[in-house]
Amino acid sequence: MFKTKTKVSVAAFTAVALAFAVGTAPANAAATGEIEVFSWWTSGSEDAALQAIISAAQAANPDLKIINAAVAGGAGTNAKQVLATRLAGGDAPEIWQTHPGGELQNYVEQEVLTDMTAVYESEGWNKVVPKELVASMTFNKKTYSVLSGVHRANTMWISSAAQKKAGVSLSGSLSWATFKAAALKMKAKGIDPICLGDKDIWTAAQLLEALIVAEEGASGWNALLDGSKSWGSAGVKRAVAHFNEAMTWTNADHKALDWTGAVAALAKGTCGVNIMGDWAYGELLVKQNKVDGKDFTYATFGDANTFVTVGDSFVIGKTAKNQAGGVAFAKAIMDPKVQLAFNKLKGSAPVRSDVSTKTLGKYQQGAAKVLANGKRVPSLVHGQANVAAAVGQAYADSVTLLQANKSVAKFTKAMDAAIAAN
Amino acid sequence: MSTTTIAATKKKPYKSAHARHGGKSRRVQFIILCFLVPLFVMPFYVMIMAALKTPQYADVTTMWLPPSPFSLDGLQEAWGKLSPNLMNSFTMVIPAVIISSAIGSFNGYLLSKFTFRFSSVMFTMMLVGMFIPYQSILIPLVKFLQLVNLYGTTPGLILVHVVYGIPITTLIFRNFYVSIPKEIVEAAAIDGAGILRTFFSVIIPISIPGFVVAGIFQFTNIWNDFLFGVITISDPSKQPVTVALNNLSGTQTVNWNVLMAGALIAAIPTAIAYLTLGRFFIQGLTAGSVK
Amino acid sequence: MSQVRENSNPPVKRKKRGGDVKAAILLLPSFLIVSVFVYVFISYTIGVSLAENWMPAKASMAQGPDPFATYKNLFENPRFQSDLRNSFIFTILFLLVTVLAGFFIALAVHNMGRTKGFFRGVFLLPYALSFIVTGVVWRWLFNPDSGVNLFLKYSGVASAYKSIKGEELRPEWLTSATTVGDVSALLEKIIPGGQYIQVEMGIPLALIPVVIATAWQLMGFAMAMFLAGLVSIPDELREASMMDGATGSRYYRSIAVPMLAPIAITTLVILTHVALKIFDLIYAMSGSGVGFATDMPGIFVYESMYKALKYNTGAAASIVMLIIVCIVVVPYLIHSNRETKER
Repeated sequence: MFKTKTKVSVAAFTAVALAFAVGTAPANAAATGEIEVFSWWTSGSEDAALQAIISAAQAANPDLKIINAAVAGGAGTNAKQVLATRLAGGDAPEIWQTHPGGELQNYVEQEVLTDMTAVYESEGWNKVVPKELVASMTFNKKTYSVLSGVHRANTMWISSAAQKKAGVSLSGSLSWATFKAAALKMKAKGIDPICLGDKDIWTAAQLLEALIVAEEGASGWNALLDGSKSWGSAGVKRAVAHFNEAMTWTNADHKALDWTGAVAALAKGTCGVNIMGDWAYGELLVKQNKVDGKDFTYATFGDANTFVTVGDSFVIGKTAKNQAGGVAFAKAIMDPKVQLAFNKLKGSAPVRSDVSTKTLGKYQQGAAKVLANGKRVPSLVHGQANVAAAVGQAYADSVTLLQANKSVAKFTKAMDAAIAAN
Repeated sequence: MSTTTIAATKKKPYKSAHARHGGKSRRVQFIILCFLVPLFVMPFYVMIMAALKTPQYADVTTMWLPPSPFSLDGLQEAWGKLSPNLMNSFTMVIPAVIISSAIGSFNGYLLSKFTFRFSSVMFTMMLVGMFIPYQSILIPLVKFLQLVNLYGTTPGLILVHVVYGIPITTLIFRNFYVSIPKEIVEAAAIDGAGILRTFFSVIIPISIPGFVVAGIFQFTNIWNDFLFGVITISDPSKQPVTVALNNLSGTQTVNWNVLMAGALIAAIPTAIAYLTLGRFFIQGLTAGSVK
Repeated sequence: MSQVRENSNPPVKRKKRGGDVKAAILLLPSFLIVSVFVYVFISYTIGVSLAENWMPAKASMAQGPDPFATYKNLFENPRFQSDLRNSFIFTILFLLVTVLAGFFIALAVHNMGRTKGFFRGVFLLPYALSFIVTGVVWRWLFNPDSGVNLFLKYSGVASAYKSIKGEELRPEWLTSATTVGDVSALLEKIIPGGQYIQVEMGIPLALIPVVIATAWQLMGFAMAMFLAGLVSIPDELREASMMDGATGSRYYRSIAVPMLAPIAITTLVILTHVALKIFDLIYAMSGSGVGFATDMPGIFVYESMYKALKYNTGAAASIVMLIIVCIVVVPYLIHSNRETKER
């Protein structure tokens, strides 16, 4: 009963969308009407950063009414749940947040996104956005999304107090041997070498991801994701063994803490290092009142020039009423000034390589440089890779099981199966 | 407090019955209850302390300590974000609770005091529906609401809560009425009252404890519901307070002082509902009807 | 005593064949709308679970070569196996604790005089709070380093334990990876296809704090149910039993408990439905736990559908849950309906 109805409505909406696409081609004038911006940013710095985009879009389009509809929870899963029902009901918002890669592809398959290729060309965005990132938003030669900023997922945050107590100094690119030596020294001084808060499994999954990328390198990681390399490779096996070892060095209450608990422990110096996306930077600076370079430093497992990307991406709903408004908002996101203001608040790096980062924090300047010039690989944990979202879930589930059974073979087998099945 | 005194003074036998077999065992029970109170209050202590701290100290490691520095920022921020949505919750919850309890009580009366073919099957089929995880029926639900033109509206949300509340309220009232003597209904029938008149004049007046528990359950459930609220209504200015409460925590970072303060604020109406409804837990309401 | 018997009299035999048609008609509207919201929606969900690649905006119900492949994969998935185990154990433990505690606390509170309102309020209050936030608070409380373990330490329990047992008393609570009473080997022999079992079929210790937290929150509701039942017992019955010289405990055994049976069933059914669908509280408290020790079907459905975007898997999982409920709960419901009616 529902099936036939949906088909009809999809067809009808496609027709309407086409009409709009034609109508908005020469849209340089300010947009009017009403748009709805649907995201999972609702509080603190995320909300402030979103407001920076909204107010810029408002200034550029004074007659545009912007409705901020956000639903937090489950790292965006709650928002996706709401969005799924809205898409099913043909009630798409003009702008919504998504992850580039597999999740974006899922929307492309459902034919609910407006193609932004023409805007990319006319605005010259192809020239300023790193090509791997454009590729993660491009399917069948059509680009569907814009990025407000990019977080780095493979940063190791180091407590200066812990280092001092243990008499070690970690920086730059770290081999496992170097790290292990330092970790054992910390342990000898009664410091848990690794801060972890993996009540939500993604934090542990992120640690393993950083270890795999370190062992396999950027090209190896990409090969693992596209299925051209087996997860039974020597590099992955080494990385999983390192992970198992690392899990014996964590704070004992790690399963009862979330990631902010781990960062708080790092700030106190009761544990040594924390592998965490660079949203931890804001947490350390603002909530914990710590000073970059003095209270904490940072390093990377493996090549410090490899950047595991976590992009915040926005798309335009094809069936939404106000296409011109959607495009105007996308342009506001990509505005160099907005990119700077947004990322200053959010703690990520601007996606445009032509934005001056001098006013950003010390860490962020470095991250922006690596993003622009280093090797960029997508984070599987944060749903950025060009694989089905189910692979990301299979990875998270495999890490959960790995923590209990410690079996390298079971882990690699499960991952090979997941890549093959999707 | 005052109601218990009223009950105690009005119903003398109640007190004397206690006096006879109360005594020692009652004192033991009192002591046990007193011992349980701190266990029940402990999580509230943690919440209140966290709500009055600065974000840095509203944390697992310092949860037992009193707030230092003391801060009302959490309460202020939580109130600022929750208050616009509080009214939406009231306009949704109150009708939903009343309608679903009324329907439940009527159904319960039909199922317990009358026998008809398939009554057991119908009742069981209604109950089984409670067990499906709601996450998996959201999409047909939205399509249905669109079909009847109630998607995105408060009446639509009320409808969802009423319908999904019917099985539970029906169950509560049906099993509540089972223990009420059939003679009451039959006496009314002899007086010539029909099904409906008997319900309104005989059943409703003796159902107060049933309404209290059904009301407690429905009010709590509907007030605290997040999923249906956020799915049914997409306009942020019309959404219930639980959506605002959910949005107090960010995706990547949470200020626990704000969240704890928000949870306490959002729980106040439910707590008030308990106190109001609790007043009707009065001994021996059915006493008169047995004679 | 005569009144007691009169009270629990069986209903007078029906006068009409097929019973009261009028009553049936009056029940019909409720039945129909609930049926739409339950059975029509569930049929749609069944369709999704059998479809090869259903998506919200491309709702194709087209089936693959093997429509039941999703179900097969589901049962072979170690995570879902853990979920079924956890849901079963959690439900049983939670029901035991909550119903028994609710019943005895209700009896005690009912006996209180002036303090009745106070106790009722205190025990009911946790029920008012949002699950998402209480989950966080309980996670803090069960942190092995800074939570309730501090009580064990400062109350001297921990040191007493150490002097007797010679080892540290430090319950791991949520962080425990231990499963006790593994019966997988036994199950593999009994159940056809038992060799598929990939998880330890025992009691994950990490579930215990989750049970405590949930019981804390819902015990007040169970108490309120029993209180409502207790106040409905006519005073006369109590007095009559006192006249007959019945002691307190005999009053409870011969009058209060039988009269509360329908209430107990109601409470059981409602709490079972809460337990089987539990989601927010555990999601906030422990997430999936060590090796899925605290994962629940509700979390699995949510993550499969909206995180992994595997709608058919999530739909299949909820259908499996519903079928299990039907197998376990329906005969019980029908039986208890009949029993309470005939009594």
